[in-house]
Amino acid sequence: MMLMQSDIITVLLIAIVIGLLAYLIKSSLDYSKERKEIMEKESRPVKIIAVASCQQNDYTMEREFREGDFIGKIDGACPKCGSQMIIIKIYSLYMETPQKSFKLQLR
Amino acid sequence: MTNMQVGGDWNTILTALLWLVFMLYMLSDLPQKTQFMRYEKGVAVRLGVLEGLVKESISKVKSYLVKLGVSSVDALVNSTLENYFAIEPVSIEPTDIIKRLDHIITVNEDKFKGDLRKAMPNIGRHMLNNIAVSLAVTSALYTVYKILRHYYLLGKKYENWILLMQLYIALPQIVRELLPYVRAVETFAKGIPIGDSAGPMVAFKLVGLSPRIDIEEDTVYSVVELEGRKVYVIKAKGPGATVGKPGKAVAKIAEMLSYNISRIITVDAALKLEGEPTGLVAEGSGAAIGDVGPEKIEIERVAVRCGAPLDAVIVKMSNEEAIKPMVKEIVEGVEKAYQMVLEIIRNRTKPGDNVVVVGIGNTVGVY
Ligand SMILES: [Zn+2]
Repeated sequence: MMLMQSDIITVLLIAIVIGLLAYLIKSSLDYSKERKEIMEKESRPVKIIAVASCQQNDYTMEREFREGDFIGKIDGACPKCGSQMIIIKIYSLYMETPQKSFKLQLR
Repeated sequence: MTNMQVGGDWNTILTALLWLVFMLYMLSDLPQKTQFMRYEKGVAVRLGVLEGLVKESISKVKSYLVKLGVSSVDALVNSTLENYFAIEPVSIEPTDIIKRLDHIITVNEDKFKGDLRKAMPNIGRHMLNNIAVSLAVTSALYTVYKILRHYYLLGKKYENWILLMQLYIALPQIVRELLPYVRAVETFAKGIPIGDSAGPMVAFKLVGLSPRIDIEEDTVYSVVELEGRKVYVIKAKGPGATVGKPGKAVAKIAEMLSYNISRIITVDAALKLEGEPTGLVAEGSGAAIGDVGPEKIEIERVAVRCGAPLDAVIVKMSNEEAIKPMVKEIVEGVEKAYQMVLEIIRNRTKPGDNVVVVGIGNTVGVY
């Protein structure tokens, strides 16, 4: 009976020591992981879209943003009526995880 | 040897060890020392991340300048990072403080842009403005990094663990908040509209491609007829990255119209509270403009002098969204703000009135 009890305590103590050691190693590894995590959170894929519309409002076209584009730029002619196409919107698309908490909104 | 003896030996050693640890923990300052080391290491790692970000944005600016064919890029960027600080005017004597502040800001800006123009004489105004803002953002990042490094080194030097603890706690948030500025360097250099361009975009929707008339440095106005009202729309001169001088432009327009203005409407991007949706549009009173003072006070003074109501229409967004490429929610908010401005003009002014609309914000990527 005596022998059984002391064995259990020994095993328990060894388990605690091993657990603490594992925690020690894990917590020191956390720092090196952090840098990667920060960078990963930011580098989500981004796509920038330019929307051009005909001046007569009968045709709109979406394409990817090219350097030199700006809102108000004349971007070719309308395939329907031949008048100027003007870039009216430039916006970006993000891959974002929506948050689902506290959703009370008035509008 | 029996099992009993082996178990007993291990037991004794482990118990003694645990006692030792317990004593060290309770009766020595070892825990404080380890905690200090932990703070120090944590701050060092995060400062390293920040250093990497600052280096990244510096090299981005440099590569853009090299692409534009600027000579002696290193000297130019290095001098920009260290120079062009502005010293706040004396504030215990408030007489003409706005004038003095405005003078200092204007002189500093002129100096900065003048030096840039000298370094790259063949580059157009809009590109120059894009480069100037990219450099200013990089310089701001570098300054924040220098300050944080200062406190880290001070804390280490004097073993001030409260200083290091504060840095340790605050740094993750600071790093996350600075990240969009690093991305902004690229956005400005490419001329992509940002969230803060909401105001100029509303102005664009009002005037379309009608002629832009220069009125102040980097600031233009256009006149459009809207159901019998003459609407003077002021915005920064696009599509380069600049905020212009909207306050002084309003003052000049008011003088031009001999203070016969019946309403002034300012449209700007505003900071949302965490949890509010992006692109929410709200209306209030006052000058919606976030400068340090000189431009805002001009608009307020003109409004008072003309006896004209001063409306503020704001498009809400987070700090981060204000300098990121414009997201779809803000584009929708711009449409709503545009409708709201039209409604204000229709319902609260009479045909024949002069109305001034000011699209406040950085006009990067908006003509
Ligand atoms: Zn068409």
